[in-house]
Amino acid sequence: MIYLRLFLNFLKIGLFTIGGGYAMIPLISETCLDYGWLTEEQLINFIAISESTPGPFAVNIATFVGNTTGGILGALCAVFGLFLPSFVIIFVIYKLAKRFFEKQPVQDAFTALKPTVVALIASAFVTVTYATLFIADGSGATSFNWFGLVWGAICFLAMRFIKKLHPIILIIISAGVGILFYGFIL
Amino acid sequence: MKDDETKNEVTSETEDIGVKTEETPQNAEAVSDALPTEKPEKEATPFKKLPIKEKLLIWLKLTLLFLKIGAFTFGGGYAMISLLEKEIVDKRKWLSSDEMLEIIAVAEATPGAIALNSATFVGAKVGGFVGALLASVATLLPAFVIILIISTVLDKFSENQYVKWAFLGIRACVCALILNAVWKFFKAVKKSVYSYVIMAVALTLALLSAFDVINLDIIFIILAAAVFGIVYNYFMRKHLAKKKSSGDGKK
Repeated sequence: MIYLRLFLNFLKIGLFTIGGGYAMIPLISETCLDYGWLTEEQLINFIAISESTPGPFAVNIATFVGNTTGGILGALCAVFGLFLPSFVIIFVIYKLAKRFFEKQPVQDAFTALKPTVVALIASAFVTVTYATLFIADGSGATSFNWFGLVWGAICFLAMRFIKKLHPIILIIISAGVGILFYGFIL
Repeated sequence: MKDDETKNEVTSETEDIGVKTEETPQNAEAVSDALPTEKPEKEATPFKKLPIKEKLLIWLKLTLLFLKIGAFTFGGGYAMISLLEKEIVDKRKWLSSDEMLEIIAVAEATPGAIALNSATFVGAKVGGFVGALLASVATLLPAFVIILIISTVLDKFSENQYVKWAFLGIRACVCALILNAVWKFFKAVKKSVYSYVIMAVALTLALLSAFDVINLDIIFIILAAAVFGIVYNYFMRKHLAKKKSSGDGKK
């Protein structure tokens, strides 16, 4: 049953992703690609959509995946699954274990978890970039996306050197550049 | 004269807590104004003992505030934190900035979306269980509704040639966005061989799994890292203690 599967898988995602946001991409893509809920292309497009709409990334993608696979009820199941573990954990910590994070083993665990979260985001970067740069056309051959490499590099430099640049503005500009390049230059 | 004294005291206190120095004078003024009336009252009547009418009012305020936060924060957790601090510490004075720091630390360290976690925690502190429930549901509600609409609309437009071209451009930008996140997080990690080795191993495993070279759950990587952190540090501490005691023995 799709609803139960959505609920359980997003429960798993909600339970095991520390650091929020992009750290969730590897687990989400693993789940969604394995079940065939999303294609890699859809996932990358959705990262941009999520960045341009309000709300936490995890909630956005749970809603999106739930809705595309099981309609509104599917979206509700996915979001509820995502929401449940963090709600319970936070509430228990608030009530019972306020000093939980000061315990030595917990702090020790986090000395290793922090670099792991960085590694997970880095792996999301590699897979997303790979899917962007090597585009498979219908015949099975892959072509290298030079435009993606050049524009991606420009975007990254822009973000590093223009401090006030909001991601949404960059995404809108990128949409325009994409239409210009593929529609009128190529 | 007396007023000045209290003001100075408060300023030094807020600096200790670690509020941004730019905002300190403003903050201090606001806090010192509120001090005589708000603080004792808050400590005298905890949320549970408030009359039902005031409870309802607090729940309503929580819901409205987190609806607003959910609807207007782009870019997720970290963007939300500064808004939360402004609304809850500076404007409403529901929590001190010390309490807020604690909430952020817990929200980051627990699984799940940071925005949702901090909403739950703030809700619990300000309005008990119902407050926690209302605050977190209010945080995700705007996103839920907006994405429902967008995903329906997107289905209709995804075959449009212009939309396809636009997304080809956007995808390159998404790579840059994620790389930027890697950069930021990398700089926040403690610089040590220990961190770098863990990062390298975790990245290798995650990539091998992502490209289907090995069959490994991401969850396994996370759990293994936590266990490794606990075991390694436990034995390192033991080892250091032994070394120290044997060193003392020689002397």
